[in-house]
Amino acid sequence: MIGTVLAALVLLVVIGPVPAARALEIRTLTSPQGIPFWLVQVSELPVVTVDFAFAGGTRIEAAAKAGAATLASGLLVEGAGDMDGPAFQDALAARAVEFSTGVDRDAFSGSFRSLATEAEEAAKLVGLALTAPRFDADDIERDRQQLLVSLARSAENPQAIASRSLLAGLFPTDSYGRDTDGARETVAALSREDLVAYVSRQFTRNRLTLGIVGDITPEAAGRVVDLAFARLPAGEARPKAEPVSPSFFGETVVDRPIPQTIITFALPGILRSDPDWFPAFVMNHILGGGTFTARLFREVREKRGLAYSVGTTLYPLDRVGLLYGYAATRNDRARETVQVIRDEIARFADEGPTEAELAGAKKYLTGSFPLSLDGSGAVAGLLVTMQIHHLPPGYLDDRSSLIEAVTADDVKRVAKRLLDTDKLSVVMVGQPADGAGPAAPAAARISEDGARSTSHSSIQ
Amino acid sequence: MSASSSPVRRRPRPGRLVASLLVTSALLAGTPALAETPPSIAAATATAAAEAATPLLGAKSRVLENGLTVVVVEDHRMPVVSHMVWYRVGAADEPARRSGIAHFLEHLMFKGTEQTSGDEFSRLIAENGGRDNAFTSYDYTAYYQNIAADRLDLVMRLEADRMTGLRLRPEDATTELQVVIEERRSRTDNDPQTRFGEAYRAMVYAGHPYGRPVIGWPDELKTLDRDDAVAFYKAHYHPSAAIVVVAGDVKAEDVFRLAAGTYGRIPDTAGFDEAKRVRPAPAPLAGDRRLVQDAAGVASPSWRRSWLVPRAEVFGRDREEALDLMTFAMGGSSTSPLYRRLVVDEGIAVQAGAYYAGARDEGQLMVYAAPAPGVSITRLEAAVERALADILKQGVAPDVLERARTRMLADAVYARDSVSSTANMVGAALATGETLERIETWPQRMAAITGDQGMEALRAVMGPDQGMATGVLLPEGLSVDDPAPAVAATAVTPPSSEGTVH
Repeated sequence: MIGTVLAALVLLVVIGPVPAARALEIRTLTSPQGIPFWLVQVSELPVVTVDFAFAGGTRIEAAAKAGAATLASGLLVEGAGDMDGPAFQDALAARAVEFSTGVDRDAFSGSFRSLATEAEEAAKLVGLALTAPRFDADDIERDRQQLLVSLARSAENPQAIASRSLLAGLFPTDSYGRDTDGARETVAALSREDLVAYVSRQFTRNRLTLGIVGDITPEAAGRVVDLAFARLPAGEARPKAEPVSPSFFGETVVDRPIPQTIITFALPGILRSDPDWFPAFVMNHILGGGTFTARLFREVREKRGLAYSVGTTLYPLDRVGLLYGYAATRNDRARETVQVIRDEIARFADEGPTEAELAGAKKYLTGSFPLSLDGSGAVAGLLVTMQIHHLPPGYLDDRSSLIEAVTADDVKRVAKRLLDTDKLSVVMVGQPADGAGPAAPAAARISEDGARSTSHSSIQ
Repeated sequence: MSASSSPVRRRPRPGRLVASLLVTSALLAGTPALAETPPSIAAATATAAAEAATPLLGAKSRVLENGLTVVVVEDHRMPVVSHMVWYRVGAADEPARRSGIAHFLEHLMFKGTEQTSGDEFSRLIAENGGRDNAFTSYDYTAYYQNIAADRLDLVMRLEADRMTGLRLRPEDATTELQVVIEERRSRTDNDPQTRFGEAYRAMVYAGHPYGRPVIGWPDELKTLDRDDAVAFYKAHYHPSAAIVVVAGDVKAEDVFRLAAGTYGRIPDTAGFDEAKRVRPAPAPLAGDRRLVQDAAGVASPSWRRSWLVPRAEVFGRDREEALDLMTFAMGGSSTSPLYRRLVVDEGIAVQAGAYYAGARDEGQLMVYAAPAPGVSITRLEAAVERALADILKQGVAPDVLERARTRMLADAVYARDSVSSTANMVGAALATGETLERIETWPQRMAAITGDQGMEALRAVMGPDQGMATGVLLPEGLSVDDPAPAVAATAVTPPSSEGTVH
C-alpha cells in the first residue's frame, strides 16, 4: 500500500506549470470628493479593510527632528477632536475597529479594518485622527517615555544593532541611515509644534495612496474614502526621489558579550522601476530567497549546520536599492560563515544560475504568488504597493509572463552587476573569534530597520 | 523547521486559541449581561459579528478507518489551500532527560524518505509554488503547506509518505542538531528576556513537562541524537494520532477521497488514545514562589504573576470560556481596566495587562506590568495587587465586558479572512482537546456568558486563597526597591507563555 502511494508520488515530479491565479478584479475609482482609490470587492466575508500610505515617512523629517513621525504615529490613537485618548480607543473598541499606523523610510502607512456594517463609522474615526489629532501634553510625555525606552531596548538588542549599524554605515549622512524611531537626543527634544508640523506636511491628499478590499460596493467605498480622507488639505507635490549612493564600507564588528554573532550584510541592489527588476528578483531567490532550496540556505545551514536562519532579500527603497542579507551563528564560526557567504556570492557572480535553478525559481515565484493574497489585508496592501510602484492593474495578469521571460543570461548579467564582493558590507554583532579569512556574518531576522515591515514593501 | 521564512501571522489575541481565533458570534438576545445595561454600540457590533459569522466555520469532518481525522473548511475566494497535519504529540510528551526531542524530530522530518531523498520534499513544494514549514508546541507538532488548490494531492502524498516512511542518515542528524543549537542561541541564549521567561515557566509549572522549554534545555539538547529521534517518531507518528486540516478552495468530498487514497493506506499500528497521554501534575503553587533576576542586557524592569488553571475536564469547559472572556475584559488591551488604572490614571506603570493561555493540561493566567520611571517593583506590585483586589471584589463595568465580547467575536470573523489562520485555529483547538462541535457553537456560548459567570471563574482561579507565582526581571545591579531608570519603562512586550517553536 505504501508502495502505491510512493509510485504516484514519483509521477508528481513532472507536473506542469502552476496555473495563473484567478484574476482579482481591481476597480480603479474616484470618490465623490475626487480622491482616487483601488477597490477589490469580495462578498464572502462581511469585513472591509482599507490600507493607505502617505509618501514621505522619515524622509521628510529634518535630522534634528528624527522620531517625529514615529511619535506622531503612536499618538494618533491618543485622542482626536472632542475625544481624549480613552474615549477614542473605546469608540474604536466598541465597533471592533482595528486601526494601525507605521512609519518607514519612504512613507507613513496605515490600515483600518472593521465589520462591513461599521465601515463608515470606522472611517469617521480615522478621519478625525488624521485631521484633528489632539497631541495633549500628558500623552506626548507618556508616549515619548515609551519611545525612549524602546530606543534603549533596541540599543541592547543584537539584531536591531546589526541592522541599524549596517544602514548607518551605508548612509552616514542620509535619512536612510537613521533609525526610523529617531535618536534619544532628538526624541527628548521634540515639541508639540514639531508633531503638528510633521503631520500637516505628511497627511495631504497629494501624498495619499489607497486600496480597499471587502464586502462593500463602489458607492459605499467612495463614502468611506471621503469620510476618512476628504478633509485633508491637497498639500505640496510629492517629494522627488533624488538618488542616493550607499557607502559600501567593508566589515565592522560591534562587540557584545553574547554567545551568538548576529550578521547583516549588504550589496548593491536595484530599484523597483529598473528594467532588470525581474532578473534580480529571480537571482535573489536562487541565492538567498526565503525557501529551503536557496544556495545560502543549503551551504550555510544544510551542509554545515552553521546557522538557523540565513538569507537575502531585495530591499528597494525609493531612492536606492540594496540586496540585504542576514545570518547568525556561534561566535567561533562567525567568520567561517561570512566566508561561506562571500564565496557563494562570488561563485554566483562568476557562474550564474544553473538551468535547473532557473526553472525551479520560476516555478516557485509564479506559483506561489496567489499565496501572498491570503486575506483581504494582504490584498489591500498589494493594491497600495502596486500604485506606489506605478504598476497598472493588469500587472497581476502579466506578472507570470514577465518572470517566465527571464533568461539565464539575464540573471547572469544582473548578478555580475550586483554581486560585487568588493562592495560586500558586513556587520557582525557579538564576539566573532579571530580566524583566518575575511569576516563574515551569520544571521538574524531582518528587523524593521533592515527592511520595510509593512506589506506595502513586498511587492515582487 | 523554519528558515528565515517563518509564517507571517497576525498575532492572535492572548488567550486560548480555541476561544480566541475561533470565535465569533452571537445570538445576544436576552442574555443576562445585556439585560444589565441599555443596548450599547459594543453590543450592537457584537450582534453584527455574530450574524456575520454564523456558522462559525461550517467545517466537515471524517475519521478514516485507520483513525486519522480529516477536517475541511471550504473557502473559495482564492484558488489556494492550506494543508496541515497536526500530530497530537509535543514537548510535553518527551521522555525524561530528552527535552527538545519533539522539536528536533520536527526538523529531521525534512530530511527525506525512501521516495523523496534529501531536500527533495521542500524542492517539490517550492517548484509547485508552495510554501511549507512546521512548528512544535507542548501538546502538538504541526506540518503545513500553503499551495495552489489543485496541488493538494501532491502535498497529501508527501505528508502521508513521511508519516511513517522517514529515512534518517546519521550525518543529517548530526548537522541538523547544530542548526537547532543555533536556533536556541538566536531564540533564547542571546536574549535575557527569553532566558528569564524560560526559568519563570519552569517555576510556574514545576513538576509538569510544560515547565521545560520546547526547544530543550541546553545540556540535554546537545546530547540528542538520531536514535532518540527515531524512537520518538516510531512511538508517536501514526495515523490515529494525526489530524489533517484542509482549508481553502476545495470540496470536502474531494478531500476525503484524496485522504482515503493517501493517508488511508497507512496501517495504524499504535492506536492513539488521548486518555493515555498522562503527564505528571504540576506541584501546587504555595507560599511566595518567586523568581527575581537581574541580568545584563535588560533595559527596563518588568513584573509578572501567574495562577494555574486546572485542566478543562476538571475546571469545566464552559467555565474556562467565561474565564477567557473575563481575563480579556480585565486586561486584554489598552482599553481594559488594568491598563487604564495603572498606566493612564495612576501613571505607576508603562505597561499592564493580563492573559489566559489555555492548554490540554493546566493552563496559566498571567498578569504583567512594567513600572514607570522612578517607580520601584515593590511599589508597582502593591499597586497591581490593589487593582486586582478591586476587580475581584467589584467585577468590571458592563461596557467593558461588552467591548471585550465584541472584540472576541469580531476577531473570529477576522480570522476567517485567511485560509491559513482558519486552518491553524481548527488544528490547535482539536489538538488540545476541543471538539469540532464546540468550535462551531462557540459564538452562541460566548454571546451568553454573563458577568457573574466570568467573575466566578476569575475568582476560582485568582482569588485570595489561590496559590500563585511571581517573576521579576531587572536591569543588572538593580533591586526590587530601586526606582526604575528614567529611560526604562515602556513598551514592554507582554510576556508570552505560548511556547511554540518553529
